[in-house]
Amino acid sequence: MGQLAQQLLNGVVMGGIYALSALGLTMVYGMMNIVNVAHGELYMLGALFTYYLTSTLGLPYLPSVLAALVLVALIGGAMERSSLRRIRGQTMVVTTLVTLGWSLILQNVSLILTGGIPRYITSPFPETSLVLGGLQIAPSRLFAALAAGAVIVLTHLFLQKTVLGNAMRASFQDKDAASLVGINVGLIYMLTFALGAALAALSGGLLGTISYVDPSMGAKGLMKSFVVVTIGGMGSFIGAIFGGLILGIVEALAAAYISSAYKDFIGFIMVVVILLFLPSGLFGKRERYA
Amino acid sequence: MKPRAMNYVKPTRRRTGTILSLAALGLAALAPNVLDSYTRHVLMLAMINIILGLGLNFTLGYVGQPNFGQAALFGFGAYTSAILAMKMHVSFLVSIVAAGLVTLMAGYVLGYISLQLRGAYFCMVTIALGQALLLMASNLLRLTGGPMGLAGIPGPKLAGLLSSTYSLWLVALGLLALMLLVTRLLERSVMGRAWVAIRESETLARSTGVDTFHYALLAYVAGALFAGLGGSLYAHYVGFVDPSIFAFSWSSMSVVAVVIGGRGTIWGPVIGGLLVTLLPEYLRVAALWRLPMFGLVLILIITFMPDGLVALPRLLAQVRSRGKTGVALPGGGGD
Repeated sequence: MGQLAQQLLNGVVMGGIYALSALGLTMVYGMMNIVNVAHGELYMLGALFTYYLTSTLGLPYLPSVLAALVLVALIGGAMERSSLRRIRGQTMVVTTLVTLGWSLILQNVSLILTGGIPRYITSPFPETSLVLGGLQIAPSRLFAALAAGAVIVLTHLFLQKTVLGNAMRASFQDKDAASLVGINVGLIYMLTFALGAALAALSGGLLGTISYVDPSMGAKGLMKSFVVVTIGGMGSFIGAIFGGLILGIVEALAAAYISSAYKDFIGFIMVVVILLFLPSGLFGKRERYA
Repeated sequence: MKPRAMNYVKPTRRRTGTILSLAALGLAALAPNVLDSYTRHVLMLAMINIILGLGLNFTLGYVGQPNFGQAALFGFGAYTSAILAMKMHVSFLVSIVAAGLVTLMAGYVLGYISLQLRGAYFCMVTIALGQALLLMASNLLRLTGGPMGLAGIPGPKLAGLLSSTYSLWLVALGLLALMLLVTRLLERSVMGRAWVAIRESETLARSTGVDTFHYALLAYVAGALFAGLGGSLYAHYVGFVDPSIFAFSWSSMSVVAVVIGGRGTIWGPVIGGLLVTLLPEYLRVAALWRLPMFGLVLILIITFMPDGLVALPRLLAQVRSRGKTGVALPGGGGD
């Protein structure tokens, strides 16, 4: 019983982090209709920048994460401005391939500049686990999960309650009407993509204290985010949260009771099975089924 | 506008076309005698990429669904051949035919599952199935050798005379020619038209009585057959398979080939397949910077020619006619 509760706790903590790492992906898909294959690289860059800011420049952890977030947001903005804007309205395959091109560039440039050595971001938190009612949790994990929850809530409030958030949603609902009321739609597109990139970077910076950082981590992160977003429903905010939690819990249980070798396998099979019964995930908008 | 008769080609022109194609095929069959081994190797890989791309083109180009799972079928064919050749010691011919048939059946199952969905969800399921197969190949140690893969897959000896690489060259060439022929025939058949109808508007196609799921599945299965044959060819040629054959990068490279060549055209995958094989080779001068440069070229081609390189003559003609009348290009220059 104690082991089950411990595994559930581990799953929830991991699930919160998964949810955050998928949030940028689902937002960019839901608003811009782009499957951003470079999402994993932006997440990797968030972790890599955080590592260099803390270790080489010796900055404290939190300011480093924020600075990494701004840097990656700038990269995201540049991606949108330079290429994605030109192919707005093209089919999904075309936009996906442009992000694939970016993913090749970002991943390999990082590899060339940093070498493929796995690195660890020094956690500002103590090593010893906290013990709560018989359950153990590492402080860095607890922090990452809590921060993930806070960021998810803040992003939701930003999109729903602020003028800029409303302008974003308006632009993607009807760009002509939005420009008629004076919204600079081009700028909004750039900001939205930059926000998605910033969210990816943030999850990279948070996760970097839990697992190692290297240029290939993006590909793995991307696949996890794909699973989360698809289970939850593509473009759905609440879906990303539930998708993340479900994946985190199922993985923890599978690793403990079945086999850790098949942990990842179960995630992908879950995608297939869930989509067969719920063709647009748990919370996705009903898409036309042909 | 003059109405264009789609199927009508002057008989004499058609005959010249056939003669030219056969001549080109004959030359290509003899080419390994004069090529150095490096060029031959690169062209062989290009042929495998083209075969893969032509198979993917059915779902991606004609039916218009974002299929990012072609590597699942390619890997299935490669592993089938590797296991048959190494564990059961069957001959090359049996191995490649069996790989084709087994992949065809696997394609029917995978296609039946993934084509329940469309668009982004279809895309995600194709990716998930590929990843699931990758993990299975890494974990079923007895059958697949796990992450170490299977090494030492024997090559064929056709008629006991030709070398193994020459035999594979001829098989690849034959397969390629067959695929081009099949694509040409399907393009103009009821099936090809049904595919394009689905791409343009699936709702409309259904309302006119087209069984869209059935036709989309046939496109997927046809693609699976060729991916399986291509995978078998690859396994026998390289002599080694490991789970990375199922990786997202293989699938996405095939999508890149079809899109930068030209989706839904017969020559698009040929141009694209050559490009994705040759470009990284030529970029070797850039050493480490080869892959970032490839990414850049990919972005440039797709951003400026979303319909692929086959649309280049049309684009150039447009530019020329605009230049004459002095009308500015929309979207050109400025930003």
